[in-house]
Amino acid sequence: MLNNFINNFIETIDYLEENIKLILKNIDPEIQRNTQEIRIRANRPLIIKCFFKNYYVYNNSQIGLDKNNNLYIISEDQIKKSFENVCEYSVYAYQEEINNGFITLQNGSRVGIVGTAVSKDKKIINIKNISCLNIRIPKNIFNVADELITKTMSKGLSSLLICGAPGSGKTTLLKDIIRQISLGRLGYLYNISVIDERGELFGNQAKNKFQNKFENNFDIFDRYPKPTGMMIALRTMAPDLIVCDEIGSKQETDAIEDILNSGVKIIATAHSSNEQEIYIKPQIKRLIEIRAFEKIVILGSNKKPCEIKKIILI
Amino acid sequence: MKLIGSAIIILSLFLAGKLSCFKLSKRTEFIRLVIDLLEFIKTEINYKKTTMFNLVNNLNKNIYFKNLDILDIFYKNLLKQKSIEISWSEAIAQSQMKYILNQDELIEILKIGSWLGSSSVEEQIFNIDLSLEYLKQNLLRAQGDKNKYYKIYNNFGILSGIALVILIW
Repeated sequence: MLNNFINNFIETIDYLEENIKLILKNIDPEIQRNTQEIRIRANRPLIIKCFFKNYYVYNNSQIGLDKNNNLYIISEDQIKKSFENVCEYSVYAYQEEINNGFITLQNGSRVGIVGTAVSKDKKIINIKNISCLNIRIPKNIFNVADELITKTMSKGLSSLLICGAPGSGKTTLLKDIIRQISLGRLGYLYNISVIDERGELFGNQAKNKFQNKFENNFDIFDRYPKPTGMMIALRTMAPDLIVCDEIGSKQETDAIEDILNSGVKIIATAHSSNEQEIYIKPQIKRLIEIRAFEKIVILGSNKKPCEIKKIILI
Repeated sequence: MKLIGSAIIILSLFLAGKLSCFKLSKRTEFIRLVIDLLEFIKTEINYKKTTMFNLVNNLNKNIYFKNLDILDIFYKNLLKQKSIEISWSEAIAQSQMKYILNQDELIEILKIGSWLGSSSVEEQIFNIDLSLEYLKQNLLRAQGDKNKYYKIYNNFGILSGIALVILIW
């Protein structure tokens, strides 16, 4: 288990420029295991977020909060090289993702991109002078969804909406739910279709080396827009369950409505820092009104990821 | 002794003529292959958005481009995680191309590495079209040169050798 975490870290830093990679490779494995984010900014110190706090990285691969102590400073050229690596030297292939502000790596890590936007007709068509990359390393924590599955699916598969603030562990929980159900946790091998619009749940099924280490019975619709992906899954894969991350648009709620009419269960997540906020969002409110979900799971704060604060029965 | 010397002169000039003919043929072949390569890349970028690594790997395996020796070196350089620009320029530096093509043509082909993969689909296609336009003009010129000089070089080598030998005798 420990090795899997480190592998994810090592796989992720493999995309960075050689010297940054070397510095991060020599960091204490315990810190690597707990690293959530790596921030590289042009002409600024290298920062990693671990144990829910930001730390400077020093030239000797140690971390700390002392800003005068031998900080490792990132050059513009290092940012450029890292960006090229992240894009696999194929900016055209990732243009849409770049315009949306992030690229998802093959192991599911998400690289946020900051630079100067080039706009046309009020729409971003490119980002130039890349100044910062923020790499979020995904956590694959096994059995983290045990409690949630026990509390919500003791009588079989049910439709869930998992709500929480950013960093509260929605995606981590969702991944473990998919893994456990696909392995027959509920006593039956359900057909699961995962609509992974941003490629951050599992990435490409064929390419994701990390995911391929496990036996799974689910299909990943990688980078499909959620409404289209849901309809294609419904028509072609005969799913028992459709899973998607971060719903909220009108097209998505329309697609969910169509799915409900066909009797397929759905598990989705939504951004919401508290219970009240759910009812403020018109599309989520509509889904609750039409009883699209049987249960709503409210997660705790981002200080305690994956903690279930409340389960609301609809 | 004189006879051996004469034979060497004739043979040398004959080979020099043949080499010039070979260069003329190879020049058109190389330019045509680079044009086809760019057309292939254009299609892959425009319709499939294939990443550079996969694209070069596919091209390297493509039997049509087996005579384009830059692809193998380019692919191997990419495997070593070198940038596109470095991989491309090193591939050209190690290729036969540098002995065959004109300086201008080489510079134009070298330039490809500076923009390949580094911009949006529209910009890539714009750059490919510019290079294609230049190379197509040069292909016409190279074909003209080949038609004009091929027979001359082919015969001129051996004939000038014989003429020189007659003069010496």
